Amino acid sequence: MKNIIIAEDDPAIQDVTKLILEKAGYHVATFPNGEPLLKHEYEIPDVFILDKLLPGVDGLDICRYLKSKEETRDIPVIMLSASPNINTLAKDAGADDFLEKPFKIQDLINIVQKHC
Amino acid sequence: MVCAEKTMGMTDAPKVQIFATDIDEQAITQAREGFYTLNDAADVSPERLSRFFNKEGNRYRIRREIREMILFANHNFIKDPPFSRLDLVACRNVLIYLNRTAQERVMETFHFALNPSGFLFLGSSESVDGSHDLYTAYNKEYRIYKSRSIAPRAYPIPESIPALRYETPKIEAYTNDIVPPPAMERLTFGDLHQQLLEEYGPPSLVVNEEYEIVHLSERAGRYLQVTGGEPSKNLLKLIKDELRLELRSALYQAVQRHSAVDAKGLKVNLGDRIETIDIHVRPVLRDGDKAMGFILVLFERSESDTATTEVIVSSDEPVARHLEDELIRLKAQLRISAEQHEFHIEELKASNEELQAMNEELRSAAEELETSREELQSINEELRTVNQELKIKIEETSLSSNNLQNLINSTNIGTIFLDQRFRIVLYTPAAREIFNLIPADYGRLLSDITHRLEYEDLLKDAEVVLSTLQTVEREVTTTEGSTYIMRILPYRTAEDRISGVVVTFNDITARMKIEYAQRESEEKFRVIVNQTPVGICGIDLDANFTFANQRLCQRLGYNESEIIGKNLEQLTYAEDVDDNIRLFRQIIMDKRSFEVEKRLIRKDHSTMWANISMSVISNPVGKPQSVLAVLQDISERKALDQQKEEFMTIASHELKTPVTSIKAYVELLQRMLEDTNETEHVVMVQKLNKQVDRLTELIRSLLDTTRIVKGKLQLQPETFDLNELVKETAEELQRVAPKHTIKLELDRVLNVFADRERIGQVLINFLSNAIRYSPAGGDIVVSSVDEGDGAIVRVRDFGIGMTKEVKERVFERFYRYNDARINTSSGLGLGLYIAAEILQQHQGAIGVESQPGDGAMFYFKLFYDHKSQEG
Repeated sequence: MKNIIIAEDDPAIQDVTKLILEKAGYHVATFPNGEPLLKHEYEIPDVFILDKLLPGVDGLDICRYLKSKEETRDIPVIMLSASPNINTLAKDAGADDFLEKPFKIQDLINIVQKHC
Repeated sequence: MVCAEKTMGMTDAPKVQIFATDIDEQAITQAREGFYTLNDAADVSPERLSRFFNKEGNRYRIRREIREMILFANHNFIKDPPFSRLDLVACRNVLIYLNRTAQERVMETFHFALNPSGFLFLGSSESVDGSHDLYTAYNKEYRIYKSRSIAPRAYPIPESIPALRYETPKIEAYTNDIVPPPAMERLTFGDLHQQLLEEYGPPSLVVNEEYEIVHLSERAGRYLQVTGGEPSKNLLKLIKDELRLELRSALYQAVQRHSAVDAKGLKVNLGDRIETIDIHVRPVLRDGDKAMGFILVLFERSESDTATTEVIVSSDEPVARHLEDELIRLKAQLRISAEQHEFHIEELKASNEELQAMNEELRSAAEELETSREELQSINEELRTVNQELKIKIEETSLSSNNLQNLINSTNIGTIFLDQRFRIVLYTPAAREIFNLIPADYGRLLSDITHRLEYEDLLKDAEVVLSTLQTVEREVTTTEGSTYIMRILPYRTAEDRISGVVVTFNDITARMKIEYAQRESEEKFRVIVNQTPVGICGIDLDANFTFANQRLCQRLGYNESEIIGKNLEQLTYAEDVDDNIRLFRQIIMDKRSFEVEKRLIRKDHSTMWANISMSVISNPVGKPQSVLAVLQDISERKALDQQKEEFMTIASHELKTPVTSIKAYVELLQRMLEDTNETEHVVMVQKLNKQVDRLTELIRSLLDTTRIVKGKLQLQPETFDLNELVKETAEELQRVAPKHTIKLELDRVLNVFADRERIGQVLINFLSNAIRYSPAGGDIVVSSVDEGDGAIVRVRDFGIGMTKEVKERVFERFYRYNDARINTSSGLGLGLYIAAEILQQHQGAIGVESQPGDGAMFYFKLFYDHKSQEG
């Protein structure tokens, strides 16, 4: 079973994405912010899904941090955001993919499948 | 040039006249021109070159002062009569071409031409050989000779034959030998001395080599007698018979031996008595003596006068005496016959000489005439040349006079020339507008002329000008309200002499009016500029402020003096400077107005947002002079915009967040219901999902619009296949429009370089509209065409179409087309507006063609560029 870590501050989105991906057969761990990812208080997953706008440290910065670390460098990161220009922002931060909110659940499943 | 140098500065310089002659007319003509080539001038010192020559092109021309010293004439000194009374004859390297006879003749000619003690300057290989009696050497090395001041021998007669030949009149024998005593004159001591010598010294006379008497003392006459026949100056003919033999031998000896010879004890019959005299012949022996060649003959009375005579007489013998008498008689006879013979010869010779003398006299007269004729001729030629020059000068003068007259008539500047007493010398027609002048006023005092000036001190000004020589300039008005600039200047002649004043009146009425109008308009402009609520400033081409109105100063926090001279750069954010400079240059180059929103730095370092509209101000010939900028403080609006933008961003984000979870839940729910086969619920959830999608679309449109307004619609261009995009989009839309058939008519088009997602957005919009406005369903034709410079995509529907008014407004923001046949409750009226903006960002084209009831055809065009070609 593949492990997915989702960092999303909105509880409803956090809840529904977890539900969708679990139904699709993934093991999902969620964090309401990026702190645990910076403190290494997690098990290294197969995919990171990061919201762009997180309280405290920005999702893009967390992505950059993960991409700078030896142990997480090769783990795919998918940026999630309501910003229309998330594609460029995600690319700049070194993310592997992005998904614009609101999204179709099939799109979410497809993109996760693509990366693991 | 040497003469000019020497005479220069002398107080009473002699006037030098040089005659230059040649027999070659062409050479004379050339010499008269006075032109010399650079080679000719090479031997002349630079001082002389600059002093005596003018450079004309690559030639030198002798100056007038030198040229005028010289008379050029065609003259043959062998044939033609010579000039006379010359001080110097320079005849160099000519004689060598002549034979000896000709040389001698020339020497004699020159001697005639020269003043006594005049100089002859010959070539280095020439000399006066054969004419030493005429010249003495002055400087042998340089061949300079001095003319002897002796009475000349017969002058050579030019060979030219006088036109008229006179018959020599026979001259009667000279009978009257009474010489009237010379009139009493004031005696010099020299003369007195001479006179005393005459009285107490022995009688004497001077003869030349030919024994012709040149001069004789008063009492010498008694030893002479004039014989019959032609009078002669020959001493041997004039001397009394008794003395002739002895004198002849004495003279002969004296000349031969170059020594003084005395003949003593000669008896001479003086009529009443017999005198015994000694004759002393004294030739002039000293070399270089002026009198060389002359001989002095002295008659001195002997002391042993009568004694010797007595002795001879008393020693008589009768036979001897007879024989002696016989001898004396025979001697006398012989002498008589000899004398007769001699007399005849003399007579012949005399008459011959007489003829010759007459002839010579005539010739000499003719020759003098010829000389003066020559001189006249050369003067005449000179005069002709001068006359020609004068004629040209007169023509020039008349031309410039004409020009001047035309200038005076054409110029509209009233001008009056006054002499030193302010009498009118000349005026131009324009001057009559101020002064009541008529042609008869020339010579009248200006004060007598009435004028229309409202200024009375004109003459006072003129006096000031005349005394100070400073120009006076004044603005004066006439009673009719015209304004003139009056200038009074001293009148300077070409010799820089002041001979009056010139008064000019320049009509500036029109200019003054313009000036007033200009001042007024400037005043208006100033008021407007200072009262207007916008900031206005002038910027020079280097972007320095030249002026700023109060409003701008207030807004920026500077006062006017602080801002003037500041560069626009000093008020610009460092990161904007480059853009700013580029834009500024562009404006100046294109000379067009430009409007830009820009932030400036206030004095307190805060930011002022301004809408700046800049216009280039060009001079009348179109050259940019400065830039006028109108600044509107939009800081507040900017702040509001900022807030709005933030609000929109937050709002759309905040809206999207719940929508995201709603949509996810709805889809999840839908899936779950689909699994349970509760069809009714599925349909409801599907509808719910659709409404969520509409909500998403609305939020996106709003966000797009905000971004377009802010100019933040960023493109992410890539190279892609347009037909591929058309196909994908059509398929997608076909799924939601089961009543319609989307047909594709795709031409082969090149790849385009554009934002694929945005272009897709445009296509979706076109297709959605096509579906929406053809409620009855039917075909929708999507076509693509390669137009060479770009690709065009058309979406054609066969729905209700639109009127012209609608057509014109469909691309406006928030414009919605309401039609009863169609449910238009959905939509914000932003779709086509956004589409148009997207095409504008791509520098593409967008449009619509439609007739009411005949559907509509929307199209857009993307131009190819090199990037798409490469792709």
